[in-house]
Amino acid sequence: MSAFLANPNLRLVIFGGKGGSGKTTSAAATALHLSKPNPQKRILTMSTDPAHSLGDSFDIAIGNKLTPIVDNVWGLEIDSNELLEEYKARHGEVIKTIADRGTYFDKEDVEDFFTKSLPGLDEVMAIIRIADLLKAREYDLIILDTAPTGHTMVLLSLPEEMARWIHLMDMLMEKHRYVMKTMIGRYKRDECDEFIDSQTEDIRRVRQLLTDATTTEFVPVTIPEPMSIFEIEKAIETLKGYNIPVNSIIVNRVSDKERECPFCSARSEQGERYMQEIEQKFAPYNLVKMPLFPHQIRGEGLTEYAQILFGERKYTPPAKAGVLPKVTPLAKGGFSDILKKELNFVIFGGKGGVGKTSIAVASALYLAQHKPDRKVLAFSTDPAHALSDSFVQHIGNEITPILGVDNLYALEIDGTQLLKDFKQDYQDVIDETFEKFLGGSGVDVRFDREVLKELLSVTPPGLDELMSLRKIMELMKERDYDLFVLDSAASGHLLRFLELPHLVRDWLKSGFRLLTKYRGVVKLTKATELLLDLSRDVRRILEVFSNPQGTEFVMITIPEEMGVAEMGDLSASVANLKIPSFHIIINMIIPPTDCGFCAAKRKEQQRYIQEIEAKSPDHTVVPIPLLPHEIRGLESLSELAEIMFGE
Amino acid sequence: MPLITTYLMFTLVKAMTEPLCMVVEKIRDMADEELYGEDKIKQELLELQMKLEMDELTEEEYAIAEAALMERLEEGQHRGGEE
Repeated sequence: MSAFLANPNLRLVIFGGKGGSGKTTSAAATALHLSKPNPQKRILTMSTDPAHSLGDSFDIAIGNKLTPIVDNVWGLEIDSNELLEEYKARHGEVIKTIADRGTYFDKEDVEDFFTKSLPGLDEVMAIIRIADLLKAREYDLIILDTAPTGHTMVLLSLPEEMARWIHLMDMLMEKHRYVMKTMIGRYKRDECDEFIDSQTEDIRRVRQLLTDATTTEFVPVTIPEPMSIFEIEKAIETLKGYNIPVNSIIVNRVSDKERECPFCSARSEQGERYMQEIEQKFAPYNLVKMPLFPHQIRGEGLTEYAQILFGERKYTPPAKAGVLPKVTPLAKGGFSDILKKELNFVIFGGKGGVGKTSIAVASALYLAQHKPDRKVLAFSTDPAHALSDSFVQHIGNEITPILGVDNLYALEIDGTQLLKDFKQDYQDVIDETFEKFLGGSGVDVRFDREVLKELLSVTPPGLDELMSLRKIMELMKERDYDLFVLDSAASGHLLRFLELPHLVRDWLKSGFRLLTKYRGVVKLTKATELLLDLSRDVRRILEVFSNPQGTEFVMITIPEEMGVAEMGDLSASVANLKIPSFHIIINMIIPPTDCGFCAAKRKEQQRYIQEIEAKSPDHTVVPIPLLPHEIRGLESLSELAEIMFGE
Repeated sequence: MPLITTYLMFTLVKAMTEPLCMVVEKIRDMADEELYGEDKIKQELLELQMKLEMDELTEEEYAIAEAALMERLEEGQHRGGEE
């Protein structure tokens, strides 16, 4: 087995895994490490997670521009909305012309579509940006720091989907080409054809690179914890399907067995068990074990991390922590005031790996047990669900009663499946709509039929998330449950999800305008009724989201630089969306200790705890200690809930 | 006037005015359909609802317009019942 990333011909390295497993740190450290022996090699580290932390890791402000990090390393944190604007400025006119030629819509309609944003844009724009970078050949190596697993798998499936969108555009042009040939006897290629050709070539290049084992590697990053292992296991399976090469797996936070501290040894014993699982499950891969550090890895610390990562140095834990910090035991029950409210909707959000699922599930359990007259539904929208693991009970895409708690239910919403069901249930409405809007040319229905067939088989980005939202709206309308507890995707995609109702409303308004405009030509009663229903539901969910009596967004963070930075961004956006928020949970605080290792970590944490408290005077800060054991199953969930709610 | 002449005159006038009556009736039916036809009212209702969702109408304006439509629907059903 070759050493970690030893292939000198690498052009693309993708780091992926569950939130909080150390993807960004690994990506940043790798870039710095590979740059040194190859000063002529131009290396770009690019983050595709909408909640970027690459800049925090390098300790340099990056943003949506190519930013020099060291001599031959650059950083880039893509901003999909900015990229969309650039894309529209470059190609908007051509796309409008294609739409004008191939559909029933006129320029004004298409113009209106162009003012709208799209769901699922982050992944689409990331692929387009990668395509541009490959075309320009400015960088010899691109290192991707990705969003947590679920959305990264979406990202990697996109090139194939995008190739079909481009094919669809080509089909839309076919009618125009036919008309021209019939009328003037020949067809002269123009900028639309060139655009389609160049896009096809760009996407082909991305697809080729992704699957080329001589130049590409996907590096799963995990920690010895069950959910993290489960996520990379699923990811590796998906990657096999796409033929994306995997050789090494980074296992972060492998703790040292030989410690005297009972807290440390309890945690390391548990880690040891999962380490064995990792060694068994991923035996064919090169396992790169990284130690648990008593401090966070950022800025200059990346060099040490990289040396250990590439096997150039052994880790020696600090002998002594110096002066032990004086910390008071953590207060309990900071979350109990939630019990006094009659909430209908609680959203738990934060960076990946901060413990969202455990806290959301523990809260749902406690609220169900202490409000026996209310029916509670815990649900998740993250494509990489974790509720089953937390409840230790299979859940899936059906509402499942939680064993042992009469009024608690759970649901892992599968947006992709819902989208399939929707297409099936409303096939007649979809057919009617597209046929009426695509037809009317009188040239040859053959083209329209083919376009229609293709159109119905492609999936626009973000529709699965829209379907998840629709499911929630449906459940709320049915009033079967009194309290909904959402375990959301990590902050970047949670934000996209919370913005979705606004975005859908915008598109619906355009849809209604079109239906009104063409009412003399096409009558789409069923489609109109369906859209009206959706619009009312979206309005209702917006009302629910912003109702301070019924809804609360609970921020979860950990006392580390990246956790705190991401919390700030998410808080601002949540406030902007007018979603009420009154609590901040700081999770994984090391309990008071005499152990040098724990004390060093705790000392570092203290600074961030104080920073969070100072920055959030309007919020109740709820501290939660790091528990010596994992939180799975009702018993340990109750223990966690007791810390949060108990007096 | 002999009876036969009266009869002929009557038939002639009837023959001349009947199509006109039919046209008038047709126009009235069409106007009724336009005003009271269920399909038509349903389309108008959908349009109103779309306007509400597009924020082109306030809830109050919508309620007034919807009530007017419902009145027309009832009137239509009433007329349908009479015929």
